[in-house]
Amino acid sequence: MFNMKKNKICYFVPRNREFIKKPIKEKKEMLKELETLPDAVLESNLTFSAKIFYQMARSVSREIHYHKMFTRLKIERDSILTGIIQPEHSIEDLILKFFYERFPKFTIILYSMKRNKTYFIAPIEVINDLKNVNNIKIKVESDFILGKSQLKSKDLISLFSPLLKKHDLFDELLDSDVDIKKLFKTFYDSQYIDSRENYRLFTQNLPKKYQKKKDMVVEKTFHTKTLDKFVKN
Amino acid sequence: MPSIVEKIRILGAAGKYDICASSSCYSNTNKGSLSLHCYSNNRNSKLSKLKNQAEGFGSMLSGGICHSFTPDGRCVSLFKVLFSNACCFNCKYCFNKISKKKMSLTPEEYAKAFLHLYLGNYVEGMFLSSGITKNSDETMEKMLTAVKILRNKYNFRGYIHFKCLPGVSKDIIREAAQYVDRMSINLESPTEGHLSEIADQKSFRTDIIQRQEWIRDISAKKFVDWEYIDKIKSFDNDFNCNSKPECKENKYKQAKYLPSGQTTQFVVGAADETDWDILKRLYWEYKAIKLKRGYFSAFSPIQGTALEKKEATPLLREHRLYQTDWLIRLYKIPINDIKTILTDSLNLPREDPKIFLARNYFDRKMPLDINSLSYNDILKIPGIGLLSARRIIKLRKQGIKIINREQLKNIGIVLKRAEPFLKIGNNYQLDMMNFIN
Repeated sequence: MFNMKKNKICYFVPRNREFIKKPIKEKKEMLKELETLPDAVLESNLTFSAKIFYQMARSVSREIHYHKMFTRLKIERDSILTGIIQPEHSIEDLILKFFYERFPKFTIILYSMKRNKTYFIAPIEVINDLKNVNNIKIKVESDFILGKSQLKSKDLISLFSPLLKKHDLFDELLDSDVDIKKLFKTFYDSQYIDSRENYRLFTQNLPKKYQKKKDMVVEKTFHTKTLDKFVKN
Repeated sequence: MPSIVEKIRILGAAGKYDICASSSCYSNTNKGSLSLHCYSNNRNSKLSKLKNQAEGFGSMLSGGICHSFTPDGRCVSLFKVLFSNACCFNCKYCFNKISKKKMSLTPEEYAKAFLHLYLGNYVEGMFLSSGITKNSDETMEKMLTAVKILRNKYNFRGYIHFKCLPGVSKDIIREAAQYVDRMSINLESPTEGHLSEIADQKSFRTDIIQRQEWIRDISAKKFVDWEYIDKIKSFDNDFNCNSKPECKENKYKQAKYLPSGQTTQFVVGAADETDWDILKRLYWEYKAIKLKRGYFSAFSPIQGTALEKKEATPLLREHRLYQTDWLIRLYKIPINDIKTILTDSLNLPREDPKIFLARNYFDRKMPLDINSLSYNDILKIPGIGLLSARRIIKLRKQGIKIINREQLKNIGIVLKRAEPFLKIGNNYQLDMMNFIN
């Protein structure tokens, strides 16, 4: 059951794209108003201003959830994972933290198409080697480093791979002749039950904005039906 | 020799009808306790900061993640592929009977195919089921080796749903419960008589119900990992388990067998059972077996099987069963109240069952004042769910009353369904009887 509490709303609103565009004075006033609103009013959208704040926070958390679902990662050597994201709000660090929680000790590099920058998260052992590198900004947390740069994913991979520990187990997976995209496509096609077709539910669950994503190749082929299929039915 | 991709094409199509496959997350499991192999991966706890942390990957901390959706709107979250489609049973509704190509994956192939997709963020966890090749014990042991490869060799800490085959021995269930998060065994039909019509070779009482009772007994156990507690103490001298408030939740002490519990599935309409038969059995399962939830799969005839000429069950029937399942499980409505709204043929009505229940509960009390109702009474009004009811109660505690329609709309109530029952301010919806009287 999805219900955001006040502390989460206060955490998400400053990351909203529309909030960021506003002048500094207006931002301060809005944050003051947010803090003074009572919990129950804010969490239930009772008033007009509460609704605005709740919707701002909701769009940020929804975008984070969609990115957790639809970001496809590519496995590279030396425990590196790469991917492409298209967030409108400033949530790159939250997406990276989610993936690092799932894959600790991996280095995750994500290219943000809207901002034309690459964001990465890496284990803390690498910190000394990255301090003097140009075009990279680092932020140190307890177990890991968050960073961003203008370099492309390929350049970052060649930078990281000599610094990281080798995971022979996962490198073995790369040596096998399995094409992951073909594997997913056959698995996806095998899960469909013809008699339950429901295009309306499909678009409700998978909005068109995310259907158009570069990685979502398999799902795009659904709405390209041939005439034969209609004639047979 | 067919390739892995060809095997997955056939075995994935064979496994798609098994619907009780939704992932479960840590926050929804029994508070504070984790599965045997997963509690070391809780990054919010102190344990995650220890240096000798096991180098595992995978997590269950986020729920409701579907990595894709099929054209029928269903979520693709778990790697749902049969281990083998060769089966010695002869169930009349089963897809495996007509498939000409019989294949099976080896445990290494299964584990590697899953890992490829998990590392690429295509799936959220594993759903492992199989046809019974020679006997249940032998098949389940092979399935378990795939799980052990993932847990021991690759240190996978994510979600695994393990299907229990009918007639399997207790030792194998006990061993599997150490490695997996959820187990399930399909009931398929509510009574012995109904099951004998569609699957002769399975015994309802001994093969299925008894296994459910064993899974229930095993999942009730907990254990204390004293070795791990000693490890914490060696790193943190100030750590004294008895004094800290966190220990009251027993986060560090206890882990649980099968933290996500057990589930089951019914095939609706194959054996001419009524909705009342299914709901009665489901209610018993929740009380006696401590089932987490039940799933319903509307029967659709498959050409080549014995039931190919039978009519397909309408999907609306499946939808109404899910709605009553939520009323029983989350809204805590007693089963005898649901019996009062059934039709003469002991099936659920065509319309929303909650509207019929609300008319029975509030017949002489309408229109209702929402500011004076209790939480349980608010839940019984159509158009008001668990979230909206909690918001109303929280507003009331802070001294805020509901005065107008807009407030109800902002809270998230479906006004079209709720307005016939409510009095908002001094206004309420008029009936034909108001004009006659």
